[in-house]
Amino acid sequence: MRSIGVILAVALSALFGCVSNEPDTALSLKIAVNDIYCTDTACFCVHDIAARRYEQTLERIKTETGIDLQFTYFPEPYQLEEAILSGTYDGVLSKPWTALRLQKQAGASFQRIVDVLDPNNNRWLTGIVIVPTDSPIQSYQELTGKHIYLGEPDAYEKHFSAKRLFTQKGINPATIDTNASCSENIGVLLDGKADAAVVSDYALSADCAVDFANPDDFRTLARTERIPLTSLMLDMNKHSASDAQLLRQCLLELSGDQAPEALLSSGFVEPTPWNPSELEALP
Amino acid sequence: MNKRCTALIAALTFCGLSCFSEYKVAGQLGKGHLGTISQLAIAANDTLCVLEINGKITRFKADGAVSDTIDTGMKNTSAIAVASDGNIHVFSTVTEMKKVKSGARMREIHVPVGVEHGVFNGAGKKLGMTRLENLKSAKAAKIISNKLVIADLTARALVFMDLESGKEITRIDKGLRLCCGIFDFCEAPDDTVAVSNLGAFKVQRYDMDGKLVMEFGKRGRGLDDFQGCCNPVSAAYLVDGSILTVEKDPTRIKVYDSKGSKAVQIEGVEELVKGCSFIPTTVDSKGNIYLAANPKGYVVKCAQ
Repeated sequence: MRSIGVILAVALSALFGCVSNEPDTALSLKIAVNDIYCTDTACFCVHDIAARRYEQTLERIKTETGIDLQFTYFPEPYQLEEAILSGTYDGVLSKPWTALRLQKQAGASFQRIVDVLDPNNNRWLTGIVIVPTDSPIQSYQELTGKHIYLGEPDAYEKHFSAKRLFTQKGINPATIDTNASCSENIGVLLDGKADAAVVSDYALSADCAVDFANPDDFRTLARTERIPLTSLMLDMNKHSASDAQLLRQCLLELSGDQAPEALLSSGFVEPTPWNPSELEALP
Repeated sequence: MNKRCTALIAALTFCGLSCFSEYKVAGQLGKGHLGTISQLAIAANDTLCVLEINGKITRFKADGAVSDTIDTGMKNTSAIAVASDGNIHVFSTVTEMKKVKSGARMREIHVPVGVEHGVFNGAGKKLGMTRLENLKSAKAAKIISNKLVIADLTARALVFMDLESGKEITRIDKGLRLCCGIFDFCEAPDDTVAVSNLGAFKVQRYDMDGKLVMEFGKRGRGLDDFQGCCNPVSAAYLVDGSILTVEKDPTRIKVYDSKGSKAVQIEGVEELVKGCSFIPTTVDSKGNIYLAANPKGYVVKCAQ
């Protein structure tokens, strides 16, 4: 029964293809991947939690629907960015901001097809404002006049979301600095070089910082807005709405109870709406 | 040729010179003969000592030919240092099996519990074997001014000891952001050591009292920056005081000036390792650079 929807979608896609004179070929998509929880893209020191593998999922999709998803794994975010800008991929599986902020430069138009659930079946990403556990700062209201480290603009949750949080809460830090990594931001707190830092909410569980920072050594004062953690996106300048619908249908069918074990979660969900205003200002 | 073209060519030439080092890949050593390489060291006459995890030391002459091999009889050998008297000091990490819970699964892991210290003369004869009770593991070792310096990953400390008595003098255990099971350091000018503090994306230089005297580096995509989840994994001082840094996958080998700026990359070095893996590194008196490729089992030489 679960495949009826996909079969119907394939049939509709074929019909649409005939009507529009598009080639009647199986869908084959090259996807650039950087996933926090995937073994092929995560750092070795978090492989116990970042144990997700996609091979089983790709095989089932190909067998059951004929859609050939070809994943190329990029452990480094900058490698993923180069891949996106190369224009040689049909889609991206990553933090949405990584792809969306580059789409104009890449000549792409990414549509989020599905969101990918993490091993706790969580779909959200936030930034957390942390201080050392023994810090005299007890609440976010006390951050005014303090020295705070954020992430850089390529990390939405610990840069733009953090600045928005400060504005909304009326927080006016005396000094704001940035570091490119959560590890460095945690480091400046451990070294006593800043009062607070904003890091991704997975930094103390699924990032290199797990090797040198104990979560109990930090308190979270505030959390930024929720944004989608990981999405599979398709370049709509290369593919039709029917392709997008077919892919979405296929991935959703392979979720919940039907999700392959190696995904370590319930798989994929409909994408939650997210339209960051900063996109308009990008070149 | 007009002035604009001349200026453009000059600018491009300058850019080319400033982006890439004069170092070139000069060959591979030990291909087909080496297993998992733990560490490298340089002995007299620029002899390269390659320590494998199985206790074997292979010595290469300066021309790249194999000189001889030493079977230390030790297991899990993880660090090597050569003293000024020519003696070779080898360190093995002693482990115990322990069951731990990982999620819903139970698994067995090797827990480091101590360090064996073997000393061999230049001919490879064993001179002694002791247990260093104050250490849990040894990932790197150097002998500097009659002090034995050991990188103890388990204790997350750089430990300074008297070479003769083995008595601990001091240890650096603050500010080390070690990850991926990697902890390396090198000898630096003026009786100092430089730690590859990869989780902090820095090279940090300490004096023999454990005082920080210089540091550089941050995460980023520029040539002066360190990339990846954590880097650099290794560093070495060259003869002229410039600083070699080694980044893992994707492999990037760079030479900074003595202040840790103006990095230039060595062209043509292959991907030495896959993922978060250590790249053992050493430099001889002529400035030749040796980089171990694990698990490929050979050493890449770079020369000017």
